[in-house]
Amino acid sequence: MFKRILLVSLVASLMLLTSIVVTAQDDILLYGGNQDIDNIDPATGENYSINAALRSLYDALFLARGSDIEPHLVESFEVSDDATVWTFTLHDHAVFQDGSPVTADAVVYSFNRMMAISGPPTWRWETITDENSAQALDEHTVQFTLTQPYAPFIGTLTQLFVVNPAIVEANIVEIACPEPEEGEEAIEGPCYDHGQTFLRENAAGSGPFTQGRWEIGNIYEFIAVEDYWAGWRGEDHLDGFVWIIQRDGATQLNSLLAGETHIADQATPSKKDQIIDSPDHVWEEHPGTYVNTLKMNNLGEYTSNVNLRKAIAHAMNYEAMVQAQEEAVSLMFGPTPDYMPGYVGTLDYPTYDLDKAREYMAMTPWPDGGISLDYIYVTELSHEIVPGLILLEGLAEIGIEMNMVPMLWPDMVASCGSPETGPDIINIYTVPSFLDLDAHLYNQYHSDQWGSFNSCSFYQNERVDELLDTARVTGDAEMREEMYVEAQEIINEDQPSVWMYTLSSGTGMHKCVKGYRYSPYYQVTVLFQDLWMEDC
Amino acid sequence: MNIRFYILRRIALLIPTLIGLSILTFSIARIVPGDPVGLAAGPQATEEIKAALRRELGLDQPLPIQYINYMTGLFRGDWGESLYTRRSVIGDLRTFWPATLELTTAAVIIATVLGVPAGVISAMYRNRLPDHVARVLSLFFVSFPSFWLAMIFQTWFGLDLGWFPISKRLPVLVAPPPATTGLFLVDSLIQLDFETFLVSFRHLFIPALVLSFGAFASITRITRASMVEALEKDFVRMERAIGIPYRVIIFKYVLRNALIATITVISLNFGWLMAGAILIETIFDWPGLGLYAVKASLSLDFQPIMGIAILYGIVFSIVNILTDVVYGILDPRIRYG
Repeated sequence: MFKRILLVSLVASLMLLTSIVVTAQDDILLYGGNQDIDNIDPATGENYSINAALRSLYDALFLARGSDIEPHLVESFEVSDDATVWTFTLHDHAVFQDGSPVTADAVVYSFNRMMAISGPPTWRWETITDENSAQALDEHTVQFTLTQPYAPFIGTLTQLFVVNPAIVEANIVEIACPEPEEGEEAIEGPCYDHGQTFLRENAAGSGPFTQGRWEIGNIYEFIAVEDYWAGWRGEDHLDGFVWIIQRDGATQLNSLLAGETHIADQATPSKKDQIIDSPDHVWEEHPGTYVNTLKMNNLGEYTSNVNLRKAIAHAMNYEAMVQAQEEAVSLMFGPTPDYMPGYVGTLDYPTYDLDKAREYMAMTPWPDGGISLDYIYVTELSHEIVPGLILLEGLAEIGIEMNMVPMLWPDMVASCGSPETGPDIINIYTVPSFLDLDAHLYNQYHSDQWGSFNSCSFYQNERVDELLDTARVTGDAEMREEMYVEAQEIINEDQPSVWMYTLSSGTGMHKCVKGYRYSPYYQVTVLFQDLWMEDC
Repeated sequence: MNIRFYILRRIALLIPTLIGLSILTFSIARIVPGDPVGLAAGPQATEEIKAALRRELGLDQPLPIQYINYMTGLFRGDWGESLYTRRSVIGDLRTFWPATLELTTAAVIIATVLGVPAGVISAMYRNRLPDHVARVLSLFFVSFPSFWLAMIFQTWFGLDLGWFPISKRLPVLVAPPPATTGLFLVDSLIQLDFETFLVSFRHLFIPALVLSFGAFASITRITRASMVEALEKDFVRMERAIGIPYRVIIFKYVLRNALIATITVISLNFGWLMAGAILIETIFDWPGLGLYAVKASLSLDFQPIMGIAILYGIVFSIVNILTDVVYGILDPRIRYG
């Protein structure tokens, strides 16, 4: 009897458990993102998931929409001939979520706060502005006076998110003053945190969404502002969306197919077939912004020799590498990916050709090889291991021994600190911060940039430095293009790196999601304010 | 020695243990090469930005001063802040720890509830079919990697059959119960919210079940071995001779003797499962401490690494103390000294 009761209870419990269904709510989009949103302070947070949140909670002067940069808080603007003085007129009906107007003072406050904190996003303006650069001319006119001309300035303003000064000021807290450096006088207190503690998890913006449930490391809810000052662009709009942290790829896929999410981002090709086979889902794939190159130390014992670098570039079996990658990738045909405006498609870029590799080896002091090079990659990162193994095989054919050396990412960053510690070959992903050759070439190939992992090839060519410097401050688009063409030709000839591929961006989504548009910008993901759902 | 005095003494001994642990973890975290500040400051950060961050976080100070500052903060309740998120570590531990605790506790309960009877049956039917089945199952669960089983179970029961959810502690659109303990099952019961309790249980079941497999195997095996040994003792023969029913002998006398070893394995498993929950948490998007620990370790985020080590040290020590206390309850012959 007891056994029967136990059995019936077990079966009943199982049926009860398995029958509980919590249905999704219409017009609330569930987004499976594989990265956390662990900081929403515009002055200190910067990665693709944080950016998705910032673009939803805040407004910036300009907005990246698809491939375009559109004025957003800005109604109109003027620029001086020498591209140093930029004057922006703001929309007079733009309001923060508490109803107060978005003014020129708020823009100046946001900019100065960001520069005072000196967090990761400020590198864009470090070298071209000073403490007096931003000025409010009147309630709705703000002027930036740059310390040097900077033609792609507008591209950087997509990241200047405007905070509500009243809310920030009300939430500033006193903190311990930092210890002075040796030889410096002690900082006289009190010291304040610029509202960082508050803004880390609380928004103070004018964007199309406000915060709902905010569970760090788990889920983040965004609720639509019905009377958003800029209006809603799509045929309809979401009532809100939830960013759900899903770190495992298989779980992302299962959740999407099971209907627990509507979008799975950063999806790998291994999931592609299952998503395509599903009648309810679609697959979006685009050339991604992550640019992979094998940086060779141009001041290294062996790799300082340009012919050796060219031999290495010709020993790489590019097609085999593409086939072997688990990720979808698009090959590069020179130092610049082909989606980038200003890309030169006529360069004589290296292909897999062992005869040519041997010809170049013959021009080095080591014609028969007999040298050994280290290849550094992120520990256990398969899409860096695969190219390494393929290169290893190619180099063995020309007498070069290659050592595969795994490293943790912080160690790799440290190794790129100086030419002395720079590895022979290192696998690096770089991301242009906006769709302009300045953002792509300057941080990789200008000698000013040594010390960052982006410039781990320690490349120096005076003419390239001059071209990149001049193009940066030239307002004339045609002249800039000519300079960039020449720069790309020289860089291609010098072969400081092996040009590899761009990592494709794959997104799986339910067919009911409408308005999705891919943006090939740094750290830019889906623009939630343009999405809506139909018959979900 | 009085048991209260024994517990107090063990708690007092916790302090030097944790200081030793903190010195060890602090040294390892700082000696490992790398530039976490450079990483936290971002790829485009200038040297000035990095130096400012270093100074702000006190990382430009000599190591002994950094350690003293850290320990002073620790005793004041300030466990430092993450280099990357700039959030307080103690706040993060409070956020993530309950999820791991709930998952681990549920897994230990499942492993015990299934493993002890399996071990008993295995011993009672030694070298017969039930024993073979239990041993093969144990071997299977101990041999297969838990992440693989987790993916299989998630796909079968979550996607194909649709019986259980794919991930998370609760459906995304269901608000968690007001936090008293942070354990959803407990908190929903406190609120008498049985619907949330059931939904939460449904989310917990598969991750906890998969996590319990390894522990189930070791509990079954150790229970079986202890039972077999105890069954061969003279007192069993004597009890059978005087006519005490076999089931009474098994559950009242033999099992109680055999449980000492099982309790040790259960308490050890609690620690192992806490550490081993990382993969299960990743696959089921369980917002626990495991993922936090992995992220901190890979990016050499000093303060969270220290915080996690100290928290785990405290938990291990407390579980050990509790285990010692249970020994005394199970076997009154044991004296504390």
